[in-house]
Amino acid sequence: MFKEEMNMCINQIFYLMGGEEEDRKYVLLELSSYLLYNYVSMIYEKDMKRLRAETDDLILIEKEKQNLRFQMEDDWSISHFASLKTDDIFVEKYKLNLMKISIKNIFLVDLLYSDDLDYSAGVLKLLFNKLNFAKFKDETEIVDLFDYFMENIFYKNQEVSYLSNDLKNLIKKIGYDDSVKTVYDNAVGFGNLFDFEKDVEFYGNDIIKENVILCKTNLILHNKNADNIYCRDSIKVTDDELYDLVVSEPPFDYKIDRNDPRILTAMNEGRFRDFNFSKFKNDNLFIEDGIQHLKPNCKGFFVIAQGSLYRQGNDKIYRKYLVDNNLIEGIISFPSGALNNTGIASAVLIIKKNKSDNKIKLLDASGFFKKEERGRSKDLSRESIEKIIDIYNNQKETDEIFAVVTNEEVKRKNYELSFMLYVKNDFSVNYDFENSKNKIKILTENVKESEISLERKIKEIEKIV
Amino acid sequence: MDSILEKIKLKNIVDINSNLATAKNQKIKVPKEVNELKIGMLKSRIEIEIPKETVIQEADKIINVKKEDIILKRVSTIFATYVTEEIDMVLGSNLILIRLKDQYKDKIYAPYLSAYIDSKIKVFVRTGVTMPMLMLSDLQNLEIPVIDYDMQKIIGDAWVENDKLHTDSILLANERFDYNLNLINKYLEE
Repeated sequence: MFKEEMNMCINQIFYLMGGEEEDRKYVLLELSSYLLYNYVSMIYEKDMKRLRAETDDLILIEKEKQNLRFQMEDDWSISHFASLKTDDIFVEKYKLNLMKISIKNIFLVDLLYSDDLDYSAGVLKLLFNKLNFAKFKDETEIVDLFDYFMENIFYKNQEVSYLSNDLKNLIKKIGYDDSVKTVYDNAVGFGNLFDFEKDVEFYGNDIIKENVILCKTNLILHNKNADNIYCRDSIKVTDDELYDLVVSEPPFDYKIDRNDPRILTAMNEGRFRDFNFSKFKNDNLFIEDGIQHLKPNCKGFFVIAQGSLYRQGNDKIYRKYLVDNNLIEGIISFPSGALNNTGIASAVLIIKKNKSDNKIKLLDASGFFKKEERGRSKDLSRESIEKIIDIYNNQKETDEIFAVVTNEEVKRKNYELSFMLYVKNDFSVNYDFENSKNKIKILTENVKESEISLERKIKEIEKIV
Repeated sequence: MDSILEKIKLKNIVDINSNLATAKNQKIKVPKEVNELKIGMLKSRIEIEIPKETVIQEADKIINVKKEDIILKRVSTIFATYVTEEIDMVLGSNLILIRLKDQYKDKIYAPYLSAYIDSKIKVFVRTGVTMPMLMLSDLQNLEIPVIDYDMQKIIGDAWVENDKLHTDSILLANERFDYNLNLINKYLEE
């Protein structure tokens, strides 16, 4: 029965191909994106179940499954879709506002729990063949499709912050040098910080199942090994592996359950026994986890909220630990709006094990960001990225945005790492006094003229009144 | 005023355009867009934000802004402004454009109309809602007192001049503030 309905659905899609070029592309892109997602989830479904069972969450999956089926029947069944005419489909689509419905509600999610894997793969291939017909020719375009899917559909449904492409590129360019063979990300997300152009092995954990599936999809599409991405909490479950590079964009408010036995062990006798745990903000645990997985002389890159550079309390204790152990190589700070979906000002904390000197590089990159003409997010151009890397690596002396400080200086400043503390406030450097003077002159004349002219007119009115 | 010759409803003497009507799918490229009005900025109270070199707008919605048009901001801070210079722009969303019909140009002086509308629209603002808003129907039925043309000219010109003075004064104050601040900072550094 399911197959028949699916065939009808596919026929419907082919029928649509007679329509407008743009509509055709749109429907195909969307459908195939979802298929793609579900296909990869299917491949790893058994794997996921096993991992979830390890972390005692199998019951949750069963519940989720029931919810999905329930929602699916409610929202948009295949038979409903197949019975519609071409025009109606678009009408229905807009009615339901498909873009806003999360991936879970889409009817194709049924494939996820179908046992017939070959059939689903067949559907996917068929659809991709048809995509070729719609001017998608080679594999790179399928990668493009995935990117399209990520940016336009998936990200918009997520209420999480994520790095913009520019920031990703910046971190990739600074982080990945030739010696890097293994990369670890303890909050991997969709694999944002993985540089697929490099020939390296990728390892990662994430707590959200969808993220892991998408990350695996991402890796598979880029011809990389996707077996080392696990659905687990990096803080609770870990191993003793060491890596050449650690990149991470940890959550800004990692909550812990103090009743969890694994957390209790970690707090009392485990890896984090020296740390103060708070109820809500434990982002530093991810940094510490990263450091623990780092080989000697290797670097770690962590996207952090700028607040943790000057906040008191647990953050200060952790900063003290980092500075006293000479672990910070540098900090590059970004303006607010550089991260998508959030206005929090962020920074990249660069950690290096076994540093040879006791210096910390501070770079304020906010000047390089340009605000998009519409919208909140800010952009970095390619030249700006190269400039930032150049300043950071070659330690060019540009006082306004770059400073090198010693650990002792930081100690004296009460372990605060905010960039503004170590740089002169230089407001007037770029101020054009002459230009301003001219402007004032012209405006003063204008105002005088207006005043005289207005006075005359007002007198005339006074006469009448 | 004793000198009122007659009263005419606004909808009879002007074309009112607003950008809120639904339109068909056909889209074309247009040069620039008057996106937002802010009090006290640039000439005749208009601060023109130019979002992109070319703005893609739906064909039905394109309304070019011309000299002597009156533009109303219809939500939040509500006011009218009079376009004194030729600009190559189209009307953005949430603005209303009022253009005096040609046959009435001898009878009514556009800046006077602008001044009168500006003084009256605040009465029509719907309060008690989340954001103050001007209803199009109220505007259409606004009665304009027609007075002696020379009088209109005096009032209208004074209003425009006042507007200009207001704008320039704010710009001058801002510029002076920046200049002084930078001068002080420079001294402190040295």
